[in-house]
Amino acid sequence: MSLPSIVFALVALPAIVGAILSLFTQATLRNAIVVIGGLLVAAMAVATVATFGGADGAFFGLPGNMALGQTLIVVDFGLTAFVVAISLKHRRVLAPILALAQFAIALYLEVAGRLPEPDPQRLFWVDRLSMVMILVIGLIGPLICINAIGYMRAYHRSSPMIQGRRTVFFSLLFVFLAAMFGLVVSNYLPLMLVFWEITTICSFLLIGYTRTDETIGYAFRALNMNLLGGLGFGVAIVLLSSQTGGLDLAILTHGPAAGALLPAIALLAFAGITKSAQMPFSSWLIGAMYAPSPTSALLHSSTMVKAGVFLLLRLSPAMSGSTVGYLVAFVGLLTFLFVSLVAVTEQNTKKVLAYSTIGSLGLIVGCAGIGTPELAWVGVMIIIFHALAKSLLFLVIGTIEQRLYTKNMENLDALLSLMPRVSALFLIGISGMFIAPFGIAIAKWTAIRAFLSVPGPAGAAMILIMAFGSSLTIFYWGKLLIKILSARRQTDYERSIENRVSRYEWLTEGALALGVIAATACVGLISNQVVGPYALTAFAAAPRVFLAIDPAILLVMLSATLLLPFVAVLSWLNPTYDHSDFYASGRSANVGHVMGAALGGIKRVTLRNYYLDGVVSGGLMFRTGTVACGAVLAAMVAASVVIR
Amino acid sequence: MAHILLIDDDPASVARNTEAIQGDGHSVSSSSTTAEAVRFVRNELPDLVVMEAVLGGKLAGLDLARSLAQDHPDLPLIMLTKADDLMSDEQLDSQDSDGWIPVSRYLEKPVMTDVLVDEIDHLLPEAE
Amino acid sequence: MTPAIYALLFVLLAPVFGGLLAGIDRIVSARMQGRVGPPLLQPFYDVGKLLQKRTRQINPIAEPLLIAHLGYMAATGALLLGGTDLIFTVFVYALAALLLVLAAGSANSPFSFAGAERELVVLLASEPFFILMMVAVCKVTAASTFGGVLASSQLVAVQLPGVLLAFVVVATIKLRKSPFDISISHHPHQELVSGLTSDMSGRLLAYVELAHWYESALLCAFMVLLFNWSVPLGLLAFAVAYALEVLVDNATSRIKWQLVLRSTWAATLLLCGGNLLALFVMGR
Repeated sequence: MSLPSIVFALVALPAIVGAILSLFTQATLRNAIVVIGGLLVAAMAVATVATFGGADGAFFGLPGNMALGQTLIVVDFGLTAFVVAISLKHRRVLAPILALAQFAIALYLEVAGRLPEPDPQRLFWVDRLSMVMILVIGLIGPLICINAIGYMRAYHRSSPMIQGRRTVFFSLLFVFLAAMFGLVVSNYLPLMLVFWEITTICSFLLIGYTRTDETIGYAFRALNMNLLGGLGFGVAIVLLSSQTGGLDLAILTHGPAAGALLPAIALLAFAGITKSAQMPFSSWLIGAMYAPSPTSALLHSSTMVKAGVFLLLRLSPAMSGSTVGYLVAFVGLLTFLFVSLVAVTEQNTKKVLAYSTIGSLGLIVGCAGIGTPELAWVGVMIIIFHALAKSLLFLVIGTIEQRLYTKNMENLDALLSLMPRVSALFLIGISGMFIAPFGIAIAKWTAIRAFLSVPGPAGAAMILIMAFGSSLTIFYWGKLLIKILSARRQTDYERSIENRVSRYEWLTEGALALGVIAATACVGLISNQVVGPYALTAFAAAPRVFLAIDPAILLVMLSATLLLPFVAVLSWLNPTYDHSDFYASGRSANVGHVMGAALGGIKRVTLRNYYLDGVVSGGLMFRTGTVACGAVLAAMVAASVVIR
Repeated sequence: MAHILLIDDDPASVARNTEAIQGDGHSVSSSSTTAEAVRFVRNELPDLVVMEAVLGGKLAGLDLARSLAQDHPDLPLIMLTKADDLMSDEQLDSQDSDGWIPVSRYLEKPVMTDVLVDEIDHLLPEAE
Repeated sequence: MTPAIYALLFVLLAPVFGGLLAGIDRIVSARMQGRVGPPLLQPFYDVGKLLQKRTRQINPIAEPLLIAHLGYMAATGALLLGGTDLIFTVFVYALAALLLVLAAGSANSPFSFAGAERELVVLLASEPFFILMMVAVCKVTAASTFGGVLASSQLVAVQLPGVLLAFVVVATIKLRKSPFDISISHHPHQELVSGLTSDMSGRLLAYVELAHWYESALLCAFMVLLFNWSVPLGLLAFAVAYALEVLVDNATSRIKWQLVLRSTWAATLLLCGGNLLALFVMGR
């Protein structure tokens, strides 16, 4: 099969599955379609990558060189109409204004004939970065969809009064996958924008799934911020429509952008920043945590937010070396620093995961803004490893949440003895997030080295941010690890909780855990065969070594990878806690984790983490970061106009 | 400071939960049969009810929940149950079974007392 | 001698160095307090005794975690001298330190847990410094390995006085000295009983002690890195700094963890950050 055909099939397949899912309400049938559809999507993604092979890039158009014509404007109209309708229903003002503004722009360009005819052979662009994204979306996405079968079952069981719309839910998940595929292979900017906004709508609908007042509020916040980004995207298209080849992403980002193009680049970067929930637009992602966990895993860690950094990575060669680029980088890095500070003060585990996501995305944005091959390499590596580890973590926390009914990390005490197998998966996910040699730690290491070459005070500032930010991540992950690894005597009844986890959850979470480990083992391969060549091609740079792993490092890597899971397995096989009593100033009455109290009686022992009260105020840090990054963002847009 | 009614025939469970809920600053009453519970509610409407589905070996809690929800639609109900097979997987996957039991939260035991207290606080109407 | 030999020597000799250092520390402290002090080799006798004592296990996973803690601490030094990338080495150091936290926390008991949390604060306080120190060293010498730095013609400590000062401040934490000994201490008057090691006995305590000796040797190696033009001078500098630590230890009392965090971060930001900024601005 030719590459274009298989790419179209890749985009079409999940859309068709989504359409089919919307027709069938019968549960068993729906589950079967989700599983089969998911596996087909995964197979299609692998086939696409196999067909692409080791090429540097390819461009193509629609079958038979069909023109796009009015199709985009029609779809645009549909999306806008939907936003207006739903906003009217819920009496929201901002969303329809933003959507109508965007539509007005599109309409104006179409009607006034300002939109030049795109090269019909260059509507789509696939290169190694597209392939990486396709694998991330196509392998992780279906796993999350399948996991959702088990999760939603438990979710609705524990909240019987919520009227579920599972048909719509699963259908949306697949439609969303289709939109993501379309986004990462688009070269013609107006085409990408349509897919971009479809993901916005999907996110809105999925966040507002339960249709409670609270979640509707969060859904609209996400909608507003993303539509604002989309509006920026639209204005960028207006600016670019008068430049030759301006709407051809590959041509636009071929090298450092000419001064005239910078405002448009800045606006596109703005869109990427809102989509990836960088400050000052982080609150929508935090609000999205109230959605069911599969939504958080799919949209808000492994795919939709990655669309934002994907665009920024595409823009990276164009921003390279410019003031605009530097300011974009600082938006990302400052976001990383501030959300890491906030995460330390947060007790809700899902929100900690969200802050961590925003932080990791911030690092990628930082890399993209500076625009060197090394940092592009770092950015893509973070995409891969973060998507794997974070989606695993969200799914695991979802499983835990449906068994223990809590997201508060203080209640995850002694998880190792309560749910040992789930803990093992949890440990793999956490290790993947920050312990060397997992990819993210490797990426941070390379990033620090790369920032050494950034000249002037900017370089110093970036390294300072990396140093303090990384230390903060160790703190909050460390807290979570302590909670999980502690142990307590459990009755068999308590330990039976784990038996209720559905096999959908086991299989998908297990697969992701294996994926994290496999990716770590293959980090050299991934670097040399895929990410390295991508970075070199994108920046037209001379070959170099991105990742130098000597045997000593390899040994550390292997042992560190297996360490915590090994410990978890040990604990599972030998669940005896309390070979002897813990020390309690000579007073021990340790059945059920209690101790004798000073004036007689028995007191339960409870242990609470430090949240750095009095040193770091989460709210203050969030507000400070929002203001700081808002200022940098404004400076970025201003600089693009002023500095030529 | 609310008044919580616990309906459960397992004394250990009642004792543990009572202590935790009282520790959170609420007052707790308990009954171990549906008849007792009905009498209690008739005397003084609690602010929230936590009930077990299986009482006296039968699914009496389910019927009680339905009648309570009918008579007092604004009364928040939490069901804790040791039964984990009241609904089959197929039933749970189907949207038709939504609302099968008119309780706000249906939680399978064992439930941590801290979690129960959090759920109660979450469901109590914003009074103070 | 190849770097691999140095790495091996570190693994074999560092505990000897650390143990002797601990012994000297106790004697000097004792003299400062008007006592005679134990024999020089007392730390070695103590570890030997610990290995013979019965180990009460609370949570069985503490042992593998502590063995890993010891292993990675030794590995950090070995990697450092063996020519591994300096910044990667800092990551391994952080991992080693984290494992001690996890081992202590795994006991799920009040004093150990409090110790573990405080040790996490200590990690948070000290980690930025080590990353920045290595970055600064790499920037000044344009080298990325221990050997490369020693071979460089740049005088690290002279160009990085802020880093040197900050190092002495942060080392106070790592050497478990007042006023920063909030999570574990060599003195019996610890408000958290034994802090981190409250629920460790026998073998487990031996691992912690041995790991601490490796860490002392590691810190000495960092000092040598800073005085890269003369290894004897580096060793002397470490001796002087250590004597200073002991003095400060006996002269000050423990401060609260909030102050530990604030003061260490302030020192790191001002001294280290300032030094680094100067480097970047001067275009080195």
